[in-house]
Amino acid sequence: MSRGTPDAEVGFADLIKAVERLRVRDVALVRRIAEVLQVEALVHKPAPPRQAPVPRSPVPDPKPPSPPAPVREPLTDFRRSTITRSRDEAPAFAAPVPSLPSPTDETNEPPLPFQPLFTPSWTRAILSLSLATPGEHGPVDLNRVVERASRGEAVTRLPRRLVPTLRKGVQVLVDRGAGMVPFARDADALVREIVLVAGRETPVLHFRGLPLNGVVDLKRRIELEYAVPPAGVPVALITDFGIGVDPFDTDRPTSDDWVEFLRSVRRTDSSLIAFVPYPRHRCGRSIAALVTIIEWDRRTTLTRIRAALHRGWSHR
Amino acid sequence: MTYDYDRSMFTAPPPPSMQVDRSRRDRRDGTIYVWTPDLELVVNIALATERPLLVRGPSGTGKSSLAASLARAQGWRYYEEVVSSTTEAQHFLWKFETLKRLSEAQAGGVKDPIHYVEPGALWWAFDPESARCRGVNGFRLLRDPNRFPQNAGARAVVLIDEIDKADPDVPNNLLVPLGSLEFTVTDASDAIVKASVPPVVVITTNDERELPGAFLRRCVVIKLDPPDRATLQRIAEAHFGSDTDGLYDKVADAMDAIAVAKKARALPLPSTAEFLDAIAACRDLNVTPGTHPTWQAIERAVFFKPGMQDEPRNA
Repeated sequence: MSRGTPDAEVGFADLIKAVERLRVRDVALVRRIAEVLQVEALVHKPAPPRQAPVPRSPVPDPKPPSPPAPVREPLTDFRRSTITRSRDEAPAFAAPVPSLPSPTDETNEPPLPFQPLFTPSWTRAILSLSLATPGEHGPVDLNRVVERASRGEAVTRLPRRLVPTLRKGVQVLVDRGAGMVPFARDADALVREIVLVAGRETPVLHFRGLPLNGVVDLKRRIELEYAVPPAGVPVALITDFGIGVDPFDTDRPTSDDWVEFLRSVRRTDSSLIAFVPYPRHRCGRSIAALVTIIEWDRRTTLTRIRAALHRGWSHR
Repeated sequence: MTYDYDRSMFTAPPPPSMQVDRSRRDRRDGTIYVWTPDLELVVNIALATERPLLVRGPSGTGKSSLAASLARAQGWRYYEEVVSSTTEAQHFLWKFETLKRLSEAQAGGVKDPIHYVEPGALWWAFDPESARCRGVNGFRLLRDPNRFPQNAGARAVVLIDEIDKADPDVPNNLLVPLGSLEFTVTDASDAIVKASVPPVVVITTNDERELPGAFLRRCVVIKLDPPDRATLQRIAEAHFGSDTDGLYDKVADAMDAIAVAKKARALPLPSTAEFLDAIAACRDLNVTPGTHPTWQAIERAVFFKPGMQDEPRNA
């Protein structure tokens, strides 16, 4: 809030101001203040002790003599060698060692805590933003009211501004193919988060290969033919688009298969969002042109999601 | 850790003792607050540099009550705005009651636009006299929303709570009024509002979304970590008096065990507020932590909220 300098970022001037106003005389405290202000790089730190200089010869040799080559032992011909060992002599690897303690509750380490792929505290904001569709539920759209009033028309219904909403719900499609096996726990956790954000009645369908091959509703324990959701309901895919599948697997769906599926969903005016545990460029251009790809990763921020959605608006 | 510097700008008050009767809820009025030397130092740095203080940290660590405690200790005026997803930066300066104006216009009773201007927290903090008359001399006086009416000095503390709930553009749109300490009320009178004394602006975030870099670089930032065992004990004593029967220690032990279990299941860790709730419940119900079914019920209700067990979130 430095008056008169609205654009100034926290910097060295703030450090000087704080040190002066707080009458700080202790160097350690100056460093602490610099750390709080995040200008610690500017604070003088004692230089590391210098190493004693290596004495140089008066005239350095242009090319130091190479060390003598090691004398090689003659190779042993194991085919002809004979092992001589008395019968009682045990080899070193067979020497007795204490065996491992049997697994008990005391010795079992607790499992490592689960680390989700998205930054945990941002996950709900990421999902709320990426799964929302625009709806007329915002504050009154003054521009439209004024426009109507200027034309002398009666305002019979207050137009509202478009805001992102999850009212339409979302259909979740979870890829359980071979490529997604390493991400099975992550997918389960993400599905739980989506259900918390979008509601308990969110349909979650699982598939292998492609949804068009059939989907499974694990909640109802039934296999179904895939049906595109009603118009406007977004579809969230949790998939790797076959990136992690063995390339020699002949059953693996091709990019063209995916494109055909994505086009069939888009025909119903539903937006498509894919959470992919790989970089966007690995999904291929033809797929990326049809679906908003969210890189399922710790580096994904809301700003990046907005950029991805902006790219995806053309396909929504 | 103690620091040696001039605390004439702000000296953290000692927590009051034996506040038993007023301790049973989430106190945001700053009556009870346990200051650490580091927190006191960071507040002094924010005061010295006249920068907004951005307070991060998990829920229940005392982010919101810090501002009220500061205002109370210093005898400064206090305003707060809780941010929501629809909050716009201008709401902190003023709001224009468009709907009220429209309805009055349709009823044939429309007034001058100045009637529909509602000063926001920053306007009140910058210049309460101007806010009271909506920037127009001789206009009908509004009531000052200062939460501590007994404090009427020139300086004010403004709490902008949970800024991460707002649209990402909101923090950046606040930079100019916070930096220049002035703004123009463009909706009606074109009044220029200026702060004679810079207010202390405390902004909290739960880190549910990232804040713009430009905004972060203009704030003094502190992260409130969950308190250590000794601080927990001090907090409990500030709320409930001294620990005569060792209850606080037992609840803290139980909370440690719960924290380990929750961490393994990627659930949010227990907070200070939950620790205080558990102590309050134990005192009222005459229960100590252990295998007693009542304690288990307290544990479930306070630390594992129903419906939360299956929520996989890393704290």
